[in-house]
Amino acid sequence: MTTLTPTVRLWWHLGRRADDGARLITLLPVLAFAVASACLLIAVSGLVAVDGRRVGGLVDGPGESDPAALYTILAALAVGLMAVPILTLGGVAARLMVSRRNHRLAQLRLAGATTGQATLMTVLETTSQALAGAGLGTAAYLASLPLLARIPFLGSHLQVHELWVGPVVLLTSIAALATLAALSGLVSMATVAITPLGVTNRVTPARLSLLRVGATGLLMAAWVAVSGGMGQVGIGVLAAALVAAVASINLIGPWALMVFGRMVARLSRRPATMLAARRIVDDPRSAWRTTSTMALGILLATLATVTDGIETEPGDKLPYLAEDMGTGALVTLGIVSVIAATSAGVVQAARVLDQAPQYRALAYAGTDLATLHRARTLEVGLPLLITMGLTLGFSLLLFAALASFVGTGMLVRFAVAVGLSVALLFAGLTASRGLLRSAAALD
Amino acid sequence: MTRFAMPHSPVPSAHLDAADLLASDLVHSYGRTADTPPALAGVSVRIAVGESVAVMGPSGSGKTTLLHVLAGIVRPTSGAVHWRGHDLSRLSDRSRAALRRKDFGFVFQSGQLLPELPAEENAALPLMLAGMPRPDAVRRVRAILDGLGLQGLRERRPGELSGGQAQRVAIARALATTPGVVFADEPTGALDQQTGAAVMGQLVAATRAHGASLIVVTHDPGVAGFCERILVMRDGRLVSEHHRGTTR
Repeated sequence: MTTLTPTVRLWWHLGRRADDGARLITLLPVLAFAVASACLLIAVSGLVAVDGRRVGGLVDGPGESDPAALYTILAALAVGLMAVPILTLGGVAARLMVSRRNHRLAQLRLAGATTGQATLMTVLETTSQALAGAGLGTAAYLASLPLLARIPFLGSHLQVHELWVGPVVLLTSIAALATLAALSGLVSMATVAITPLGVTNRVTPARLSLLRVGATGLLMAAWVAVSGGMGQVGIGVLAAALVAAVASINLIGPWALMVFGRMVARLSRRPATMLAARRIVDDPRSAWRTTSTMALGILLATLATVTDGIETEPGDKLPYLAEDMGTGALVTLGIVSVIAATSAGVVQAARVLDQAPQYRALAYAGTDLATLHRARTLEVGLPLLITMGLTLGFSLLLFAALASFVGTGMLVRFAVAVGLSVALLFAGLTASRGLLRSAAALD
Repeated sequence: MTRFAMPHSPVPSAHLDAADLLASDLVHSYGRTADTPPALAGVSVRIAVGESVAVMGPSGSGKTTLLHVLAGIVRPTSGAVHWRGHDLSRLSDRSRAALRRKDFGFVFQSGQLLPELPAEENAALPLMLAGMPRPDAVRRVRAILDGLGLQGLRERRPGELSGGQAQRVAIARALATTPGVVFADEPTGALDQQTGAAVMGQLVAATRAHGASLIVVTHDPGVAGFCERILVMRDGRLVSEHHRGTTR
């Protein structure tokens, strides 16, 4: 207790003394936590609404077995799929916070702070920002309820009360984000705790293991073998395949980015391309984290397209299933697009803040801002190309059985959905242009 | 030539060369109010081709502002900077940026190298920014890096280099475009004395070998001693000038 009080007091004091730059660094993770929180609650609200209608008998007929349980399974699957990018965004926020604080914490350690005090300050900082973000996210979720209620489902609009997740889920989601932030803080503290001079330097990055390619190949071979043995591919199997595809893409994606980045860096002729490629090679996992969310989005857009082509027959127990799957996939696509855009914006903003001295040095040497903007755009654009190529390949493999249902109109809708999602991603990136302008300002 | 008369200059205006860097009666103020003292209060100076000049003075004396104005980074409130037929103070931001890219090189205290790029790409960056394809740019800077004793370190990133090695990469980058003038702001400020002296010696020698002038802002007399001429500033003015071995 004797240590706790002065540490908390010092943390509070340092927070109050933060300058504008430090405040902005604080705001970025809070924004990321807010988006993660809002997306998590919206995703869960969909599951709650679907499950509520099933339990209430709106889906199922009396006396039937429970084919409508498939609705709940699919909704739970969507939440599960979204949980990965949502938690990743939360992790990005936490890492951003801690990396920006490492230097200050190292100085505090040098000034005599114990490991316990530095750890406590980190946990206080990350948790308080996660809580602030979760609070904002909850407000955003509540504000979005009337909009969500306009989504058609099972032939009629959802009701606001159906989308209310309840206090238990609300508090659990806030606690989950706070825990994630605290854990990330503790893990990231390790470098500072080991030595007061635990400052990390950029070194030549280690190659990612080829095992990733082997594991992905095994998963694909398994899918081909299983799907080839089935006369008819059921929706449940497709859903399972979707999960396997997401896992496979996430395994091979960073490795593919690393190889692609090395190739582009070697072949590049222009500085913007070289800079972008080197940044990808520097941390392919980080580059992948932003665009992997888009991989999920593209798979979902594909799912929405192919399910739209499935025709229901008279007497079908779930007449709205195909239509509702399409709607659900599009809503999920919308949510993951927001997550991807936030992740791109926050990561890029943090990079600009981190590299402000280098940007200024480049500006002194006469580098025009357009080159720096182009490098940042390529830094997201090049991984996006790889992501889209990989995902479309997997989509073809997965949904080939349903390809005969797909018409030109559906393909146009697919292109529009993916195009909007990509546009949102670049909008997130564009949001940090102002920061770059001020970082490279000469006066 | 007489149109470049320097009323406050301690530097004689004789023997002017069109290739010299020439500043006349520079005034620059950062403050918005009239009672804020100007960072530069009427500085005139001429830097001859291939000359090395150190600018010294206490903190806030206007050394870095002078360097920024001479390099066209900052436009002076009044006065002119002439370089190869251009008055930098009249050029647009874009033209000054293009001129800096082509004609000037820069070395700072630290932190100018991009952490993701290996040494040779960091050094080649100005050439690529000027439009040279990467393979040609990298090939060209390899000779400069080797000349600075960085053989075998060309593929290393800044995080894998010592402070002195990183500054040598920065020197190679500054010389990559064969600039007319290299501007250095406390280039050894982050180094220990022995490494700093070695780096400074290499900076002066390499700049001279490339036929460029060198302007170094420093507070360290040891560093300034490497230069042919030392200008001392106080309160935004040049107050004295020393040539190596003489004082005026």
